Amino acid sequence: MNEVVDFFRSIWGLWLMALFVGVVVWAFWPRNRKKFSDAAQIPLRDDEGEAPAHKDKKG
Amino acid sequence: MTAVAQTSAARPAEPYLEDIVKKFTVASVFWALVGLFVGVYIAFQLAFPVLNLDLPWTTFGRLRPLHTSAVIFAFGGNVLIGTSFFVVQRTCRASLFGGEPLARFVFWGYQLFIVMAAIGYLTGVTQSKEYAEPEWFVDIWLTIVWVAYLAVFLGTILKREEPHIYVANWFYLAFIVTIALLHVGNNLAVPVSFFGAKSYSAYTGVQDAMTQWWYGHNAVGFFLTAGFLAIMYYFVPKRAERPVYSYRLSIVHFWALIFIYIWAGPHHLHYTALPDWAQTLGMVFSIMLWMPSWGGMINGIMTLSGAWDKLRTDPVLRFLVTAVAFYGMSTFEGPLMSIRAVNSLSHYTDWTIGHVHAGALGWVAMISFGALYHLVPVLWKRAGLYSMRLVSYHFWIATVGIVLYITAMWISGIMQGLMWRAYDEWGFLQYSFIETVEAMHPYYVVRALGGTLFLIGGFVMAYNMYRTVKGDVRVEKPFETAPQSAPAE
Repeated sequence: MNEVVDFFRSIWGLWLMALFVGVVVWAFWPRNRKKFSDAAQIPLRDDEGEAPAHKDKKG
Repeated sequence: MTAVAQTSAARPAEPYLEDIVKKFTVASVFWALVGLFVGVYIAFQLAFPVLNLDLPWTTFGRLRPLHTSAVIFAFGGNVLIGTSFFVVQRTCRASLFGGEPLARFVFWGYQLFIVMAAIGYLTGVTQSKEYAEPEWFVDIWLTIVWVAYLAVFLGTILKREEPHIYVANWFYLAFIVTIALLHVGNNLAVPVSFFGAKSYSAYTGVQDAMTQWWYGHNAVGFFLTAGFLAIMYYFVPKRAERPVYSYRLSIVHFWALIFIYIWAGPHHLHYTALPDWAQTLGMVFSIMLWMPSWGGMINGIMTLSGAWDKLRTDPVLRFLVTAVAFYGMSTFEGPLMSIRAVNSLSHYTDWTIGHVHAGALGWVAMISFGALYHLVPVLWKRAGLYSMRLVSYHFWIATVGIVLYITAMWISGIMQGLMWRAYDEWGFLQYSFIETVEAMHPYYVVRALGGTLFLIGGFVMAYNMYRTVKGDVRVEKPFETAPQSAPAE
């Protein structure tokens, strides 16, 4: 067990990088595009019942 | 589109808790004025030492931590906790976990921490770790409050009705968790006696220094950066009325920042007993931070693409966007200063103070002002602020103040560094220390004036918010809204 831990500790830069590349791939995976563009709308549809300050419906 | 359609119709089961956010908003404005005032006072002390008043409680050495803690932890902390309670409820469509009582404990517990810390500084009770000055019993109290805060925030995320966790909440959560880790790690200490205030750190020598700057730099990275980036990711899209430029970039921004920031601390310890490899590691990771920092800045500013005219018509948005621009500027300067050769000139000089205030005034305070200006009418159910013109005046007064401050400190700091390293033809130091102090005097005066302007802006904001809460509307020429024709791209 200790040997395994020591091994991974010695190559921390590598797996940190691999993890990060994984995140980037996940973020830019084409099939996830719609999911993330929906998520980006969350703050814009949270204020039902409030007086909108100034809305110009231009998009 | 099904997700959008079904979520916009659904209302939260319980109403949002907004009274607690009002409390944090009021506390933020109050502590901003206190912290900025103390800052202005100690700036004048540096220019005119007679202001130390020859009393132990009012010397620069005791007031300086009072200033830093008041602006960072009291003003910044209240803004972060308050906005996080607002944002997490809205973006999760759930009311706060633990309800009003737990949230109120976080509020009053945190204010008690601030007051205990401040009294300690003035009476000389301190463990003399920068930005972590409070003694062990205050540290334990903050730990309890912070765990309650984590419970409220995480509990709200867990009971959310929105399937996705919006990116601002990731940044808030990273801020809360990392600050808990840093606070406990750096403050491990053995009290001398159970009923005494004095304690000794668990670390010694260079380990103590390294732990301190692991804490210190990540307080910058996770308190003053990640937390306020959460504010950016909610309030800039909200105010601009358009989604963030690239949600995918925000994901990459988040993870890159989290992975890299935690290693940058050693750049505070160049040319010390810290091993060279650790110094180099800190420097390399600091330079790598350019990428996520600028990615985030571009993401924030480009959110306005196609709506740039709003900068002209909405001074609140101007605060938010200028803050992001200052974020880009100070995160460019920071890695530059972490390069060992540059650091040999800049370290221990006023350049560092200038850099810190470009970030603290330009980024942290400006984005906080923008968020608070947005929040006050929403929380108190007003149609708008008392006066948009006053917001605009505040913006310009504050901006001129920052420019005076940082340019004075750049000149003063670089001059100071060059004078320290100047030799005459026999190899002796060319200047005595007091000569450098005399040379810096005019810049200290300019800096104090810049700080005064920033403080005046704070009072303008407090007045504007007071009148808004009262329900007044100022008779004034409005900013033109929605330009009829877009003349130029």
